[in-house]
Amino acid sequence: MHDSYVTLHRAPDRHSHFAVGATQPPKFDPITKSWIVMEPGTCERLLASPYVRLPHYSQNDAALHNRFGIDYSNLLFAYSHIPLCLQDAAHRDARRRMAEYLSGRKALVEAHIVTTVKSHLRILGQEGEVELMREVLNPFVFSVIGSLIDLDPAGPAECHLATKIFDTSLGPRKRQRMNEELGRLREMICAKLGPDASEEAIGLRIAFVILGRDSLIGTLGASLHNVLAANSGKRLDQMRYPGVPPETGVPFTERIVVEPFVDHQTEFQAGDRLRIYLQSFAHSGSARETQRIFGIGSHACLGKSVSLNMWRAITSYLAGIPLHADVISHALCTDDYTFLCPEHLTVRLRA
Amino acid sequence: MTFLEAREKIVQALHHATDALNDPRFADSLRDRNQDVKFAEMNMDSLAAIECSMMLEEETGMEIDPAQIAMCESVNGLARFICGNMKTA
Repeated sequence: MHDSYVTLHRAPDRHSHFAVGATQPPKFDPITKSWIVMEPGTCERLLASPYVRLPHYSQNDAALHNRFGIDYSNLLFAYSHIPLCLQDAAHRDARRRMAEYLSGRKALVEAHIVTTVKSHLRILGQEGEVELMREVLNPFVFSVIGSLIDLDPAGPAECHLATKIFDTSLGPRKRQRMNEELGRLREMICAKLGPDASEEAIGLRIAFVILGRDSLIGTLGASLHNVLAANSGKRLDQMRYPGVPPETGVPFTERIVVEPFVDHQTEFQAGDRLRIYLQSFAHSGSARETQRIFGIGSHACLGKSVSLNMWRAITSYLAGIPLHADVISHALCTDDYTFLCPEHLTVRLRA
Repeated sequence: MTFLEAREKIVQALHHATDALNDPRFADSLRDRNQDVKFAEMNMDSLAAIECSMMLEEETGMEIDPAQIAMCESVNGLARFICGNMKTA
């Protein structure tokens, strides 16, 4: 068992733990008070199980808001528009609204990705050092989200903590800062949409920032690091780039058991928490399973096609650069417990 | 802040969040500075953990995530973490 499943997803030796975990049944971890699920087939079955539901993410914040008068009004507003935070019909309605909105903006966003990838990655075409997160990937992601919700990229850029809304491992002070960030984002969106904007239109845009920002930055950044490290010594135009990102910025998802059931000899009780590692799909080595990093069923990622388009636009551009890219510095973010996201990724480009 | 001061603040935060000092399973161990109590044994739910964090943040001025509490594993482990970080802050 790993020292702490709280941070396993970003541990340097995580790949070897997933290799072992991929052959084992779920085990209960007393620290996270969760069943740890790593075997890809079990992950798949449990994600599709009718005996589990999403956690009530808003419950604790609502309780603190009501009991102690802590202002979490913007957090509670955001929860009420994010499908993952809603159950049953409310979930279906919110998810359908997001899917319809995405569908309506699809052509525009795809065109934006194609036209702006060059300007964001141009810096990689010349020799020198580049910090890929700050100089390339973050601005690219902010610009794509900005085009999706028709907002200045500064909006998503300034949401450092707000996107960690699902991270119940973060303390009250960070949650208060999240609330403040979300308040500023909400004001920015209101100003852009005008005084007649509906709460639904504002909430939908906030939901896209929350669901898209760090998951995209993490997936693209961690995957790029994976490819660069695996192809060390080769030029960018000699590297092999997988069609699907080889890492996911969303390493796990949680579910709560609603009624007792048995899955392949593991007995789950009502109320049990499951930590289902999407990373196990990424590390499975199977192209079919790698696709499942975006989830399965009614909670699968709505932004999958945007993520794939961005990944393919980036890797296509890199595949045309006849320079070596040596990773000279890399560190993962450690200020949250839900994302896998490089804090920095510095490369030296040379002929 | 000394280890014992940090330990006392943690015990009070746990009591505030879970009424731990009135629980015969833990009360004596929590009051005895020479003993330790693992958080996993206390059945602290996520709301209690965040309430405990809130009180410790107020008392210490540090940011203390529920995840940090879990990773420290026990009252004494968390007390060492708090006094270690307050010395280096």
